[in-house]
Amino acid sequence: MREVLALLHGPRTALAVVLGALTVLCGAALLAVSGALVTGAAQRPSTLLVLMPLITGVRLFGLSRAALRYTERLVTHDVTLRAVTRVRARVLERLIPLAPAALTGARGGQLLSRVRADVDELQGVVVRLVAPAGVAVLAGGTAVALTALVSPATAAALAVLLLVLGAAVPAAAARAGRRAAVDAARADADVAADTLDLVRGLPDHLSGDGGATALRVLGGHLARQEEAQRASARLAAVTTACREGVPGLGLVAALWLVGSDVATGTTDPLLLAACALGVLGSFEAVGGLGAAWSAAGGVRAAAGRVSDLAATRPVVTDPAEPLPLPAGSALAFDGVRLIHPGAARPALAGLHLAVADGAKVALTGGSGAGKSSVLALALRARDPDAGRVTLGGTDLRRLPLDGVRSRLAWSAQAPQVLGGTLAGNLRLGRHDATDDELLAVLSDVGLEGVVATLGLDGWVGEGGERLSAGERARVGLARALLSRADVLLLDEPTAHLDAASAARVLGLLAGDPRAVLLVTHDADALEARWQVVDLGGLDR
Amino acid sequence: MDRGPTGRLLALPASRRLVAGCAALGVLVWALLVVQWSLVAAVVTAVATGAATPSALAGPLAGVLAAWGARAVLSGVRDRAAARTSARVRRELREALLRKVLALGPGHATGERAGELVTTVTEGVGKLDGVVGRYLPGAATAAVVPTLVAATVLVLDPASGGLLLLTGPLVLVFLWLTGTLAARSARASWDTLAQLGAVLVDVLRVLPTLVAFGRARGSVRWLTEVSEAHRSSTMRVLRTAFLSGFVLELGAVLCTALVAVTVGVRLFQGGMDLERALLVLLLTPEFFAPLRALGADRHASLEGRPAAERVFALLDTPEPARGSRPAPPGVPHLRLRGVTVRYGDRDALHDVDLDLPPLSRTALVGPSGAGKTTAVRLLLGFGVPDAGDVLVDGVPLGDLDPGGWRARVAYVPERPFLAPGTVADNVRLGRPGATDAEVEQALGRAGLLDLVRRLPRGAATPLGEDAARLSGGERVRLALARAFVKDAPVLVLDEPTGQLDAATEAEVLTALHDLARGRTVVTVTHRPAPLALHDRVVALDGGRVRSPAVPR
Repeated sequence: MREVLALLHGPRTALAVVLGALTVLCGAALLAVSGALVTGAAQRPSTLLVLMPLITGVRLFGLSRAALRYTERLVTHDVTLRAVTRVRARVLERLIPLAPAALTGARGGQLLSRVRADVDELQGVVVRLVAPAGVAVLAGGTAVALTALVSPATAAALAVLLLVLGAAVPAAAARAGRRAAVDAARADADVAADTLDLVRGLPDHLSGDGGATALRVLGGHLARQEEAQRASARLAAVTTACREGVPGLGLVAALWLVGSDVATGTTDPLLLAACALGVLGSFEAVGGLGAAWSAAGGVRAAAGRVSDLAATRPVVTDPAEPLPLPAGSALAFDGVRLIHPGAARPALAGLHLAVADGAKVALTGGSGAGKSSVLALALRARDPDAGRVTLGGTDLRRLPLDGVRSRLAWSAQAPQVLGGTLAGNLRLGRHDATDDELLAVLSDVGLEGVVATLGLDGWVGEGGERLSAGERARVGLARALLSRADVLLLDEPTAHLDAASAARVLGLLAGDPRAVLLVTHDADALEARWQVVDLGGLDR
Repeated sequence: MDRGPTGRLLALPASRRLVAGCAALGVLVWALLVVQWSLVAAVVTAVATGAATPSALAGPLAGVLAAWGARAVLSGVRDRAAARTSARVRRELREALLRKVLALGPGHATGERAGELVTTVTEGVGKLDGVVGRYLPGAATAAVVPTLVAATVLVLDPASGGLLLLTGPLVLVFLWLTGTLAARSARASWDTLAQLGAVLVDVLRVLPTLVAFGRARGSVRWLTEVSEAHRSSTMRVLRTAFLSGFVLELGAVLCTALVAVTVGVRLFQGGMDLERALLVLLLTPEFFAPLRALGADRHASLEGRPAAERVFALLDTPEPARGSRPAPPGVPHLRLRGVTVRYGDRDALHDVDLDLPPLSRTALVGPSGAGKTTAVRLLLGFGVPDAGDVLVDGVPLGDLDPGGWRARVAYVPERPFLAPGTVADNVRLGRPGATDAEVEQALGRAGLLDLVRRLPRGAATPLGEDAARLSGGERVRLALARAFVKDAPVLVLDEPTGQLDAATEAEVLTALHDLARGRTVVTVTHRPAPLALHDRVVALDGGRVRSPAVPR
């Protein structure tokens, strides 16, 4: 819950609660004063002036209630949306340290669904939880105190019934509904994850079995989702019946208790209708609590997951006392051993490899020889299980993460392209690159054609879908080339290129003053100045 | 009257039954209200005038409780029916949407942003709860109860009844006016929210790259700015949207106040008795209560309405004409005749003629962006050419039953999608009925048996999201196993060995050679080694056939 409270803006939340309580009290007061007015008028006082305070009261409470309600709703929603912004930022901030390694393992669809669902859950915390609880305490307490002035017994009955309706009933319902809430959340997450999988893998599903398997699995999730919703509906019905029924008990209790006082002459008859109707109106104070209790479970679960995210140990962390970045950027792998979780044999076993400043090193080897793992280790996406990786002679684990990554530029086998402009994607490599520099590097990697049809500021589509796979690979390469890093880490930069383009790119890399560590399956295409390291050979 | 998305939701049989049921419950609720408040008015009058003590009035008080309890139970019944109907409608719509996504095919999933498609199926349909679960039953109640209450008050006290009949429609007019304004803004807000969702998904997707380039912190700031912009735009919407609630609240309380004051004055003048005056005063809030509830529900439905529009727009998207002719038996003769495919303003394929006789093995080569992938996707039936025809044994592909045709084509894409199930599940995507032995055989022929034996639970090992356990080469070979198990007469390969080293490539090519026997093969490749598998090479460039089929 601390997680939740940290997301709230204190004074604005308090304002929302006060406005909410005043709204409720105005409503109850309107009913009470109306009752008193009618009873008073029936007593036929000598002059209408006697009734004037009551008439004024009716008008005042009527007008202010509407205005208060409107303001309260606006303030509450404003507080809510501010919380949404904070939740999003917080979740993203917590994912960043986990990003390179943990995100490939976790199901992307589930992660997406979880982040968005948790954000949605937490964003309702003020409207659904904090404000109703505050209003219940403030307005309910005031109403009981005011009733006690007329009839302490009625006040006691009101207090008990408010507690029943505001605490006992919702607590019981929330307890009973916990299972359904968990089931619903799980079903929602599964539906979202599998829908995303279906959409992403549409060609494979269609050419496979026409999507029948995916539909069957999703159909199962949807049925579970509906069943969970039906279970919630049963409980909600009981809660509704209580919410509608309990105020009736309050009204009858007030009629009985205050009525007895009136009959014995200890209370003014004027107060009978006033008190009964005022008690009835007071139940609005706990009206939002039912939803609040059921929301509490979901909010707590979402807050818990967001906290867990913070507690998840990143695979790599910044050192407590980082050493200054060394002058040179020579990379060295020193007896490095790496085992992927769950793998039977190490991806790398005792790798020794040096990439001096400006050196050109090409890694080759069979599938699964650990070529891409070498790049991941250099980027410190992972740490080796044994041995060490050094940059300029210093162990990577003693250097600041941002500093290490600023020395390296990476282009994956299938580089990730942001949905945005071509220029925006390239400027990830160097944020202040001029248009001329962008055009030059695009021409270096043979993307003049794309510039001609799309333009630098052209939209590359979601995930770069308007580019072909080969074009995306070259955008990734261009991005790395643009960066001010000392070492380029390139995973299969020529895999998607025809022979002529591949030769051109390799020539460009050979002539670059920076060190290049590339993964390739085609060592034959390399010039003599490349040092070829066969990992399959080391491994076998 | 309402032909919009709300009207379409109302037209569903389940919703109609719900609305009719709620209207019937409304009549019962009205009757109970009249009983309950008449008894309360009688009790108050008797006690206040000293005519009776509460203990003498135990009967009427019990009557109040009974009527009140019955009304509470009816509310519960109404809510339950509404929630169940809503759950059912949402499930049915989600199922229909998923079938639609499959029917529309990958062309639609890329054009329509994939993230938005997922949002429509998940959150979009979820928001319809506001319409089906709340607005429709609320509207039915609001149509019945206030009308009957107003009629009752009119009989009891024509002056107060007239006041209700005057303010009621006024309130409704204001509700409609402000609601219409708010609906327009809510649509804009939904667009922002969908974009915001897409932004968040995109940022999460590329997070590894952002981290590697030291841009992740910047993305937090950027996301905050976008969310902040969303907040201020939403607040603008809410200022209008809440106006309808304000008008209702104001109308309701002012009317209650007016009734109280006028009735009070007439009581003072002696023109009315207390019991009747009290009953009128007590019934007045009941006139407004359903309308007020409807105001709140309407806000929920406003959020749901643009979502419903998206849902129905997707459901209404015309599906590519589905042919019904069965795919011809045997190995088919494929032809592209004068085929042009346009992406925006550029031709991915331009007037392409390609003849693929039975058992031919054709390699499509050319620089990236030449249209190779577009051509093979046409053969799979993903998309229709903008001009020209794809012919199967002389029959346009569009005339064939797409499911039947896809069952006859095995496809190995450049970067195969692996479902998050087990290794065997992924192989069975080729043919769901395949036996364990057939799966194992396919894995063996794809050269994966060694790998599968190393996995902790063999072919039953779950792969996890994006199959992080597998290298690029292993992914391709798993997709090859899928093709092996499918045993289709046409084999479409898109860069099958693009990510393999020379040694593995040779192994896979041997396997492919084995697979290709007795089938028509079309392969997109830029690597020289697979060419040996083929008998003809077709070069594409800029969407045109640069050289006609060259026999090797």
